[in-house]
Amino acid sequence: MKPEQRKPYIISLIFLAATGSIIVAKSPNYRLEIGSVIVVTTFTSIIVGQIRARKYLSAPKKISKSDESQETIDLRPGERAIYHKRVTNPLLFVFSLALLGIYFYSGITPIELIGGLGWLYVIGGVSTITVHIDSKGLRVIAWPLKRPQRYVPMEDIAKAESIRIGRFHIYGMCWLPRRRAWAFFIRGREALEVHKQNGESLIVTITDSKVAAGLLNDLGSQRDPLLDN
Amino acid sequence: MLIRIDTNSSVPLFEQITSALRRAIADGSLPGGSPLPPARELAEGLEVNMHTVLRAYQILCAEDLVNMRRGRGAYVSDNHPDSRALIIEQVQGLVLQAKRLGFNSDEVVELIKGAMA
Repeated sequence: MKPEQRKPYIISLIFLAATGSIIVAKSPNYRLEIGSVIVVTTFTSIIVGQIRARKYLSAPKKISKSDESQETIDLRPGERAIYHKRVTNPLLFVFSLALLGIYFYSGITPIELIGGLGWLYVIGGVSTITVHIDSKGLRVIAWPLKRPQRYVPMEDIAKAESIRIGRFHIYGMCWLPRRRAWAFFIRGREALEVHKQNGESLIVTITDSKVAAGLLNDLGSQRDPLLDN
Repeated sequence: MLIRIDTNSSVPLFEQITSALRRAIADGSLPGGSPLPPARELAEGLEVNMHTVLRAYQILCAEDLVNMRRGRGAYVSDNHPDSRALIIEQVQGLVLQAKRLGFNSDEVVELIKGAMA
């Protein structure tokens, strides 16, 4: 593992160790208090984060196309191509695990626990995703449980484009009602947006989104003559 | 990572796939430890026989660029795969060019030895 890959794990371990030390150092009645504080803080931050993300991503100033022209990779007739990428954010995963540990340790009620686990699944469950594009369409699969999954067949894709997003937004998987889009936010800066024929879209944060968008556009245009026959 | 093949090309499909994967490793799109796409998925996506993809994986495995683990699929090896892939890719290009120009293997080896001396 390279040093820069180790960094998120080290930060999370420090976070976990510090939190654990605080819990251990507290009085015998600490469990309920700590648990309630964590649950309230977590859910408040989720709600605030979701509201911010929706407002943020529906505002045209904040989300902009990286280029006005349609992306392409100049796929020639007779050429075949696939795009396969695993995107990961280890910090997201370890942070979720750390929170999970605190949840269990802090003695919160079962209902709170279920809510907390649900949120952790949405965040941590999509900390690693695989994006696969071929002539059949686009598939986004979360690791390691293979759920959630999103599949967009090629015939449903109207257009694909590379977009730029800010660094500060909610992470994980969420539905953006104003934009009518499912979004997988694993990292910041760059994302692939696939517009479907029904007006909905799918946003996935990947590093080389221009290539992915270009391939989808080219495969889509290669498909058209077949449909005309 | 983008893998593209040209069915009109005279270069065999397995070599095109090998070359595309090698380039992806060399330019860092496939860093050490990252998994290669499952052979079946890649074969279906490129509309080629699965054995064509497996042959490409085996070549990369023989070049120590990829590790094949039973039940876990193929992974890019951790030991500086990018620089190794770059050198192998350049050697492949050199060999191809030498063949076109009518050089035999001994002459190419002599040229390389001379350049490295």
